Amino acid sequence: MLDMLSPLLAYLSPLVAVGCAVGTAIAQPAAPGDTGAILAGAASPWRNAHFVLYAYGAVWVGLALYLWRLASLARRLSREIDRLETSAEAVPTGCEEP
Amino acid sequence: MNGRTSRLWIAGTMLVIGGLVSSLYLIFIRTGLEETLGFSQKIFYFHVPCAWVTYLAFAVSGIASVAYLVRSSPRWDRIAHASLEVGTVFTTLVLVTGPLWAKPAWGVYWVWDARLTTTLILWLIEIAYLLLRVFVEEPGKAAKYCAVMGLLGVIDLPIIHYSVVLWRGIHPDPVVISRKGFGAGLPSEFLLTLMVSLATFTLLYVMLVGVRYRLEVVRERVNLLRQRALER
Amino acid sequence: MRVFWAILWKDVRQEWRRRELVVVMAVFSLVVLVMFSFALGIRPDRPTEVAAAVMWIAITFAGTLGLNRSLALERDDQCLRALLLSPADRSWIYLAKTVGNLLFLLIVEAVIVPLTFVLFNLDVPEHPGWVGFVCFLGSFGFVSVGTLLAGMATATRMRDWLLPLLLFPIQVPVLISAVRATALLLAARPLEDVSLWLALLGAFDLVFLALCIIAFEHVVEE
Repeated sequence: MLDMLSPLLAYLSPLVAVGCAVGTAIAQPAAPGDTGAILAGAASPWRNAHFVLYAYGAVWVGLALYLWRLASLARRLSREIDRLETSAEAVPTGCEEP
Repeated sequence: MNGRTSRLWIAGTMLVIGGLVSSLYLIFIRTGLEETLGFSQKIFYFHVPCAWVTYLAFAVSGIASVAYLVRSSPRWDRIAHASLEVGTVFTTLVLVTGPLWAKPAWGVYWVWDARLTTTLILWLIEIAYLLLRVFVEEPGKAAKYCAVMGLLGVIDLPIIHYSVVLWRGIHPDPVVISRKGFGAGLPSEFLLTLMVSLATFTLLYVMLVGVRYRLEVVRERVNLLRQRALER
Repeated sequence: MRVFWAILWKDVRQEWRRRELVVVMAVFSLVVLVMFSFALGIRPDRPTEVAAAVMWIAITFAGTLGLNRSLALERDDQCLRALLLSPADRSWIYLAKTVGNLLFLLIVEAVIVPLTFVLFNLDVPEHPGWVGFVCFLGSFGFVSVGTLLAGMATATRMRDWLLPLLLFPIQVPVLISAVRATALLLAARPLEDVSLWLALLGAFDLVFLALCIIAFEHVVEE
């Protein structure tokens, strides 16, 4: 079961990290923007860039947290199964598994 | 877990990643700045898909809840639960990105307009559903109760929306781009970017629901094994 | 049908003897009213709006209290379990519980509403019957969904705390409509303005009564 989850998590998690980095980098106003900000003052189109950073950052963080929650749930369930299956093997029941 | 299914999973994952990368490229590099709002308008391209997924997830959960009440097949309950849980994540994201978009656009973080208020109430209903899942001890009962909650919620949501519209009065969208008139006021390059982002988020939703569904199957197996262990 | 009257009569008689529910609900709603009056002060600009809002908050809290208590009593008595084992139609059981809860809430409202007038210095409205009608419709919507959800909440570990979390988001249309309708009536606005809210309340009541009757079957299945 986990073999299905692992690719999803393995590929998405670094993407999330990259996304945060990219988002941070992009949300910085570039030099022309800064000059624009000085010249145009409050009317610069980059004036609210920090909101974009927070918003995209929130989306990445939110998705990452949920993926992490799914992964820890999967780990916990997998551990439980291993534990229960080994204890089942240890006690011969003579019952057939369906 | 056969080879074809895992190939499908990997394909799906690659598509989601590809979609996210393309969306980011389109959003930040290809699409120009919007006139009025400037850079902060870019939030739109993630906010709207999250909102779409929110309502899609809740609708799917509602339909699955009704199906479960009618058929009592555990598959429907798992779909309802998975869809609602994933939907709650996206609802939270909507409620976070929304005010961050609203502050530069409208000057305030929150307005009590119909869409936002309904989304907030939806979030509360989803949390109530999840609490019910956690706190009802018997899984069978939890499934039934949550299905009822899903049914009530999905019927109630249009009524809530309508009552808030009546309460607040219908005021025009204070922003150039209206989500209702989809693409009506949007330049074509904005629309394309939005579509790509929308498709990516929808696929992400489907993948997450699939994962969550599988985890539910595993959890049920664990409970069964645990029960057998106790019986011995 | 007989089951309906039997359960209703049992609940009413029990309440008449013990008087736990109604007294507690009435006192609690009085406390809520007074506290809100202190907290808000009497605003000279919109007394009817504030009064309507505070009144319905008091009714909502009292109603929640009543729902929790009534189901707790039922749990203690084990009557419901016995009833469910019987071949009686489940819908009548649900209706009996709902009407019983509604009755108690209406009795408490007979206390809350006049008190609101007194505390907020309101004039007697032109259409006092309509105020009563709004109270009835609002309470009915509240109690019909509340009885079902209280039945679900009592099966959990959280019990009393869970009911408001389940009920209040679903109840938003009732709250909005009831408060708006009451405020308009108290401000002596024409009935045409109020009719929209009454229609919404009525629609909610009908739709959710039907839904809850259907859902109750599933909730009490063993």
